[in-house]
Parts: sequence; C-alpha cells; structure tokens
Amino acid sequence: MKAIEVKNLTYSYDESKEVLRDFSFSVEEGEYVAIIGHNGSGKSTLVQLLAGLLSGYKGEIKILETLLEKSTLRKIRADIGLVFQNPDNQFVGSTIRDDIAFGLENRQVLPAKMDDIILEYSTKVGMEKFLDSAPENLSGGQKQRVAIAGILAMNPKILILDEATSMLDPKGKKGILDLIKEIRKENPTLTVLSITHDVEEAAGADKVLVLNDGALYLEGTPDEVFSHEEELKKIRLGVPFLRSLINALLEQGIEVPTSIKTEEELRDFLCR
Amino acid sequence: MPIKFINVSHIYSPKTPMRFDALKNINLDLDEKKFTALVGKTGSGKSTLINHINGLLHPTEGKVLAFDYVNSSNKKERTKNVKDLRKRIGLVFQFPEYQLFEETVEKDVAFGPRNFGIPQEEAIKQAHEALLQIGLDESFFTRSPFDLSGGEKRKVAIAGILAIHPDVLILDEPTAGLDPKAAEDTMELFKEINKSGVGIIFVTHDMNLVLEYAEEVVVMDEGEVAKQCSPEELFGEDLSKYSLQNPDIYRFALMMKEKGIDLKLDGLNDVNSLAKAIKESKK
Repeated sequence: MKAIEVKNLTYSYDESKEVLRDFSFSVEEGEYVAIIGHNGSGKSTLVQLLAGLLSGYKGEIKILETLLEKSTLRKIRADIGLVFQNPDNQFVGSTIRDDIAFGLENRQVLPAKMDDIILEYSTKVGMEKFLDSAPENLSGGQKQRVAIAGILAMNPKILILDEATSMLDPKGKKGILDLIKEIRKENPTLTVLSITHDVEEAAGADKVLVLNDGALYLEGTPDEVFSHEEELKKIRLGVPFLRSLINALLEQGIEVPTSIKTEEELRDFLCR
Repeated sequence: MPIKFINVSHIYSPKTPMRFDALKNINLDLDEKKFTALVGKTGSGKSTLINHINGLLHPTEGKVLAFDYVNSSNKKERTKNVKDLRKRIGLVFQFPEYQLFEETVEKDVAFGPRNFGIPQEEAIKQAHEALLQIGLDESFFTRSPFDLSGGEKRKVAIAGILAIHPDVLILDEPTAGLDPKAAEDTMELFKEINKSGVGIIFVTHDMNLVLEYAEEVVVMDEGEVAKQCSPEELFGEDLSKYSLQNPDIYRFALMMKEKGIDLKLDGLNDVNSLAKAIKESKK
C-alpha cells in the first residue's frame, strides 16, 4: 500500500513565485524516506500540504490511498503525526504528563485509559522518570522525545519529522535517530517521512528525495543519490562523510569496491 | 592579553540544594584577535564562561579582566560603567533571530548603535554598512525582519551586533539550526570579519567547524578548562573523556590506527588530504 502519493503538486503563497513546482513522489507503507534540501527549497511547505494545513494547491495528494479533500481532512490528520524543529514551540503542558495527555484529550480518550497510555509511550522514549518534570528542566533532546511520545500515543500511521533534530547537540540528535530506529522495529508498518538538511541523517533512510527550488532534483536510495557528488555540490548540498571519502579515495586511484556501505567496512578494506 | 580569567568560580543557586558549580577556579587567557572555538558537552560551562566576558554574570569568586573592565566577585573592585565593555565585546546569543522586533530590518539593526547614544541618522548609516558587510543588500533594508528566511533573520541579528563595531565578537552556536549552505556562508563571514581585525570567540558542538575555522580551541569539561591548544593538537587523540567526537577525518584516521595503520596526521584538513595520507600509508 502507498502511504503517501503526491502527483503534480504545485503551490505558491503569492502569484509571483511557485514554492513547489509539479512535484510528484510516493512513499510505501513502512518506508523511511528522507527529503533533503535547503531552507526555501519547499520542504516545510510540503509538510504543511500533506497534513492539510494549506489549501489552494494544484495537483493531487493521497494519504493511505485516500484523496485529501475537505471531507477526508479529519481522517487524514488523524493518520499523520508531526514533530517540528523547535522543541520549545510545541510544548503545551506544564509537565511531561500533561503534555502527552493533551493530544489524547483532543482525541477524546477516556481519562481512565490515559495513565496507562502515557506510561507506555513515555517509557518507549525513555522519559518515564520525568513525567512530573516541567519542560524547562529538560534538554532539547529530552523535549523532542516527549514530543515524539505525545505524537506516538495518538497512534499515527505516518510520522513526519520536520527538521526534528536540527536544534539538538550531537548526542541529542543521535538519541532521537536511534529512537526512530527502535520505533520502526517495533512497528514495521509505521511510515516515516523525515525532512532534513542533514545528509548523515538522510544516509540512514530507505529512500532519499532531493528538493531544489521547489522541484525534485534527485531521487533514489542513499547510495544512488550520494554518488552524485558533483550535482549535489552544485546546489551546495554535501554528501555524507563516508561517500565523500570514498570519492576522494577513488580519485587517488584506490579502487574501493561498491559493496562497501559502512565506515567499518571501508576501514577493513583499507587495512587488509 | 586583554581577556583574562583569574581564579574564576561561578556557582548557581548557592546555599540551596540546587547549588550548581558551573565554573571551577578558571584561569584562562584569550587572545582578542584570534579565531577561537569554545567546545565542551552541554552543561560544561561554556555559556556561563562567555557571559562573564561581557559582564552579564559576575564571578562568585575571582575576577575577569576584559580590556580595561574589571568583572570581579568583589563589588568594590568592579568597573562601574559596563556600557563601554558591551560596546567592545559583542555577544550574539543562540538563535538570535528570536530577538528581532522592529518593523524594518534597518531599524532593527540600528537599535544597537542607538542604544549607545548614536543619533538616528548615523545609526541607520551604520546599520546599512553592517547589513552590506553581512551580505544583505539594499533590497532588505526596509523589509520586515519577520518575512525573511531563517538564515537571513540570523544575519540581521548578527548585523545588529556588528553595527556597534565591537572589537571582539562572541557567538553562541552561530550555525545551529541553519542549513549547510547558510552555515558555511555564516562561518565564511566570520572569517572575513576576523581578518578585518575583530576577534571571534564561538561556541560550537561541530568539530568539523573547529577544524576548518579555529586557530585556537578551548575545551570545557565539568566547569574547568580541560585544554587550550590548536585544533591540530586537540584532534587525533581519543576525545570521549570530554564527551566530544573528533572531526570525521580524524575519527576515521583513529579507526585505522586501531587496526594498526598509523596515518600521518600533520596537515590533515579535509577528505582529500585524508585520502592522500591513506595512499601514502599503502606504499
């Protein structure tokens, strides 16, 4: 089943400039897709369109094979969970418990059931010991964990991360990425769409889409996309460290086999 | 050495169960002309340290000398006028774009100079100069700062400090949250500003930036200065004791060392030099 199917999507905030131009892509259920591109490339606009937060676009959006339109908006929003960039901008509760409960209240979950759900999801993200803490006492990474718990508690079928790690320090970032991996292992039908400008993060996805200036620039597996170092450099996106090192080694005449996928494998090859 | 920490300690919430020793007996000299990186894990004291340099925090013990300003734990020793210090040392906080507030870009940038008593017309002129310096042309001057992209907003916020013509610019994670293109532009800009004679002290978690830009690096660990040296001296040894990671190329060189291949680390500064060193080792 296709979790997301977008056909010929075009959108502009005002007449003068199209933020998205004839953009088509699809994501299979359970797939982890990264969309990379610069600020202003149309990434965040895309997220808002998918969640039905903007109207007046041309083209077609289908979420879980349901066409996005007025009558299906409620259902589609219930299927999508969004986590944004700045952890401080999405905290609504005065404690972690309240914050996770907020989403559940909006979904009219019975209070008797709430405590169990809150405990389950806070445990899943490793924040169960902080349930009565106030958000200001948490680090950025911890706040993002709570945001993710609050979203997962509502049982979405599609998780969209909009630059969810870009404000975190390296440790916080790695923690969130590991968490996403675990969640996907537990729930293999969960579809993850990650909007990011971090190429190292994108390297861990099943599929990478590169957006440039509102249009699709490159598409494929991380390997395929990041083998186009020159094209990516042209729009001033880098490639992951491993890929750029392999390219530099090839230039030095060291024949690195294409089967190498990790730094460890490359090291072992070089240390033979 | 115009910036000097002498036995500086800083304790948050002393005499309470929440007591936190953020700085512990710091002795540190910072060169006011250099491009200096300040690194260390979250909570190691980096922000507390920079807030002492321009007098936002006073030491619990010891004193900080910055140009001719004395920031001492002893109230009687403290220089009365902090304004001159703030003019000479400009501090740009994390995510400074959240502090924009004026109707137009030029007014926002002129707010700083105006606060230092510069008449409106002259302040606007200085604002224009700072905006051009930072790469925002005339078309931006009268726009609302809130209509700009994230990277542009940050530039406006930094221009607001540059317009004051500080001798030293302190930046707390200037590239956090920026896309790679904007981050590179921002760092290149600081490099230019540094060349024009303004000292730069920047806090960062990104060791690749430290390697590429810094002349000197100060490592903070648990409220103490663990190391002060050149990036080349710092990198290439195991940094996990400071909860830091080496830049990618040094990290990979260390992985090879574990397998018994010792690469020449001198002059290692990008993937091409690493690839050359690897080729060299295979001969």
